[in-house]
Amino acid sequence: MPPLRLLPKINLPVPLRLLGRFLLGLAIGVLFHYMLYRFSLPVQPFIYVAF
Amino acid sequence: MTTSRLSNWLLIAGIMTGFCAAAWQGNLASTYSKPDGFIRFHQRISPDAIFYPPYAMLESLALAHWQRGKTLVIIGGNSIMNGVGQPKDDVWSLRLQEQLGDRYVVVNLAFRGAYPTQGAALVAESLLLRGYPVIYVANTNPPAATGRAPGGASGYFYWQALYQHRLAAFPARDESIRRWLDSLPATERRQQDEERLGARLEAWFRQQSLWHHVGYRHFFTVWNFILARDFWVPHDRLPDTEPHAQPLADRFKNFLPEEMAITRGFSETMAVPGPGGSWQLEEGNRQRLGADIEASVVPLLRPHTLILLNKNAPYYLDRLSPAERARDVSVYAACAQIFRDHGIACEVAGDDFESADYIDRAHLSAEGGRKLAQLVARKLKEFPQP
Repeated sequence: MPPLRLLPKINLPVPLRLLGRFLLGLAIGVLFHYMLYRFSLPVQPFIYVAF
Repeated sequence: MTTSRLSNWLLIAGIMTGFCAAAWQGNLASTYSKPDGFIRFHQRISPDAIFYPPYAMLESLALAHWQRGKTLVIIGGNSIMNGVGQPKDDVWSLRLQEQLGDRYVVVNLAFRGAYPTQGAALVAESLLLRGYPVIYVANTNPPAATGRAPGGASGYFYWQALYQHRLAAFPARDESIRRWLDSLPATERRQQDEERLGARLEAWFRQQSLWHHVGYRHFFTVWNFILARDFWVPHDRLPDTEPHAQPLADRFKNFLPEEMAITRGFSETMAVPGPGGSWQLEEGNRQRLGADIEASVVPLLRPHTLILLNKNAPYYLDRLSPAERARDVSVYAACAQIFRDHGIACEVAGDDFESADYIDRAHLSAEGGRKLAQLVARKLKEFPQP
């Protein structure tokens, strides 16, 4: 049985496909960095109370 | 190599390159001088609004306007020093700058709820270590004492400064923090461990520096209930909306019993009756305050520090019994003397202030801010020139 495809396959030239793969990697790398930032933020908000 | 394998390797190379490029940008962001118009960390650019400025941003801010030949006056401490109660054009640190003149550069790094040993104190310590002429001004009150560098909303600065090697060797502080960590319940200990881990990662990857810089200059990515629909707005464009004080007749009306209890609490458990109707600081409290100073204020910083002990508003003090008022005066005087005995200049702030100088029990109005600036300027001019 052929693999199920939601979108028609686009036959891009190989160099373009490789470039796209690298750019996708870049985006994922930046996203990992952003997630480190988000994970470092406190879960509970700081609510200021005068003392 | 097949195209498919090459494609996978390129994906991995892209991930590593993207991450390293973000870390590199974070390193650059950590050294930027932050905005010309900075006055203070108002509520919308503070932890209240999920904006946790990284430690490096504080150092950049402190040095943004400093030039050789000038003395840097770094303001730390809590909301009173931050200028809560004073609209942005009336913040007391602006008045202090005017009083001190061009030979000084005043930078307000105080945060709501911060202790005098947190945040700004670490910046002052780090800059003194590197030879900058610094005077540090912060506040506290008798029961709050010095606090400790980690813990609370401003505690993360300590871990970041520690892992970025910005602090002086201070074994007494290390030991005190170690004992404090050991004494914490499991959930709070885990929270501190997470803050430490975040600070370690920040030293390597600068994730806080980069994304707070992006949030400050371009767009903020974390929704919060204070900013609500405006959460994404670049934070350097967010106006400081601290309101003007209410008319005097409308102030001090809310929570009178609670505020009176807090006012009494500033001295109630601190003092014991002495001979002839006088009051003395209770010996345990005397020792605790001395030990706190020894374990939390780095010796390098002490001769360059002015601590203010803020009095409560006269509206509340005038409602104390004569004995309670005498106790309050004694406790403040005794605590100020303990700071001085440990080599730290200390002043009681508020002895000659009036009700109009306060917006509530603790925070100063624009008028009160002006008086505070006069007091601090007078004391700072007595400091030896660094």
